[in-house]
Amino acid sequence: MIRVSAQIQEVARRAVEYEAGLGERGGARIGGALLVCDKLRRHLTPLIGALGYGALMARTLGSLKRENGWAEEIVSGVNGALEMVQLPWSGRSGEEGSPDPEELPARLLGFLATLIGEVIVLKLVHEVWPEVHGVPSDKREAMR
Amino acid sequence: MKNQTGSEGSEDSEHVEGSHRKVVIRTIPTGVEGLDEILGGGVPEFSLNLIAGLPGSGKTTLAHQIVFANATEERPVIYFTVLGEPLLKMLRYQQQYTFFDPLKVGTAVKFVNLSDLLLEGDLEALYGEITKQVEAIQPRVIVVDSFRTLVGGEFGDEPASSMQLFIHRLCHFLTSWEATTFMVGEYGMEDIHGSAVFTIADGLIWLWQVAERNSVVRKLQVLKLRGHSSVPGLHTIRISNDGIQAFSRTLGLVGKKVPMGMGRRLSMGIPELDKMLGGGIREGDSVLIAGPSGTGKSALATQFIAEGVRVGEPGIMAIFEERPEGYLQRAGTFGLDLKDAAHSGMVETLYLRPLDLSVDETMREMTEAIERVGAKRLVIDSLVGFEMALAPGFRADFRESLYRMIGALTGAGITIVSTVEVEDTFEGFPFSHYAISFLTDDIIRMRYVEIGGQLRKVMVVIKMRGGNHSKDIREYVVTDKGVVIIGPRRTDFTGLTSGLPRAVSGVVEVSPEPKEPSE
Repeated sequence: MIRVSAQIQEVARRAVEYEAGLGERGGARIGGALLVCDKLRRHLTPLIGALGYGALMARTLGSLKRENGWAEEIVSGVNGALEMVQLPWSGRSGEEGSPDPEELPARLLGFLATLIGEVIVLKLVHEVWPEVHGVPSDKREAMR
Repeated sequence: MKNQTGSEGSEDSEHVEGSHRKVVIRTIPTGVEGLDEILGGGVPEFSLNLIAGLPGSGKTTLAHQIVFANATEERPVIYFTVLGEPLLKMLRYQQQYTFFDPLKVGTAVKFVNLSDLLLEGDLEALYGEITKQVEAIQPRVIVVDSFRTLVGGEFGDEPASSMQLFIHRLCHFLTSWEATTFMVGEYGMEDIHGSAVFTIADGLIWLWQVAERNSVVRKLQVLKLRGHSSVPGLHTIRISNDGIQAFSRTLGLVGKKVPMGMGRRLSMGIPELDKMLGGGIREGDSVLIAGPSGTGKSALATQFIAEGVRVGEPGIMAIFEERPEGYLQRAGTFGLDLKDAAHSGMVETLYLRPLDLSVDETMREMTEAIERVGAKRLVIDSLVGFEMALAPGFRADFRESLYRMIGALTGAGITIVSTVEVEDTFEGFPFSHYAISFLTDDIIRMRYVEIGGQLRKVMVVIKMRGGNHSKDIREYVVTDKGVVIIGPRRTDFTGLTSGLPRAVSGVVEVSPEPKEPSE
């Protein structure tokens, strides 16, 4: 069980929202979630290595797939890069469909926070999305 | 100020000595308490250093401590991680230390993982990545952890000469980048002749972890340090929640000169004893009070501290056999109320009883307490307890350690009174089973003697370095006022030092302490 704090959940939601643009459809949101994960992969790989990131993502995805059928359509490479097999949610809105795309980056960040602490994780997220409102932008906020 | 080429030089980095301009090698702090002193002020700036040792010796912790002590957003630190401890685990564990500031991660402290490139086996790409990161970040400090993994990896078909070339290129590059570099490596002493890095490195800090009986002793040695004189030898280190703490063999007191009153005498708090000592103990002396159990050694030592309080001289009591409350309470039964003095900060009691101490750690405790209260008097009660509190590995060096400790403290102007328990054999008159009398300036020996069917107590000043003293053997009692010397020297007995004296005249002995039960 990966524990995700409310703050991490909110940060993930905003990052997905940001990457998905104005799209509210399920496809746009899952696309946003995949983009968030890809940006995190690029940012984290120099830090923890491709294999390190790949192991994190495999664990995250495994956890997600056990509870969310839609995640079965996502596969992860050795380096943690994600690919979609198909888009089963295409044409459905986020509200009516079961996909909850921000759950993917939220669990990834939650898992990371379990290992290295939320302060460092939030800092890392801020380095990727400094412009995203709600992502802690200063030290005091990160410490809160 | 013009240098030899006529250009302006910075006084910050250079100075003139005679007609030769010499570079001043500045230092960076390690962030490790006690280590900068061992390193002669810190790590020489721009040097290339190897932190070596076997797994579990504290290499990565030391590297992190240095990193967090020096990292700023303006001059960040790069921490290259290579195959070995995964960074996630490293961050997870290292942040448990108080020195670890998570807010510095990513900004002031940049971690760069080289594992992927290492696995690809492309030395050129590896070198390129390191140089790219260094040039981009312009760090103040660079760490490569683990360097042994880096240079010991399999690199496809690369010949050994390519690896040697890689090491040389990398070391030269790191040296030339005005950054202080630390390479962390799992090395044993047997590796020292087999790797070029030991030659290239400017500094070589070796960490040891040795299990001795049931204790683990950690030590640090600066095997090499170009441009600075470090304190030689093995220094004790301890790893706690605050990271590594180092205890210099010189106990941090080298070169400390404390002005002492010229030949000032300190009272022991017993006027008759002061007379026997030729006016009191010379300031800065080390006094040994030796005697068997129950002769009043602790009482005498406590009186020395109490007298200090009376004349406004703060004191420290380092006790190893009793708890402070009990010690102070017992002092109270001698009429020496030290509790108020303890509350007001005039007296501090150090209770040092863990069983894996080193003398250096104990010394640190004492010197810190001495500085805290401005102490001029120190009691160590007792040397036997002190030795027992040491880890077994340190007991073998007890005499040598004690020698360093006493020398350092008395050199700093502290007057020390130590107690030591010796067994009265009624055959001899030993001063201490440690053969440490050479360490002390003055020796007061207390012992039991059988007189008139009673076990009485006598004391004698055996030795006072550089001063005359009474040779009298004086009888004393321990009362509710502490140690009280009674009567003149005994001329009516011989063989007092044997404990079984013989009367030389028909004197009728009167008991100084009637102990008959009252009717």
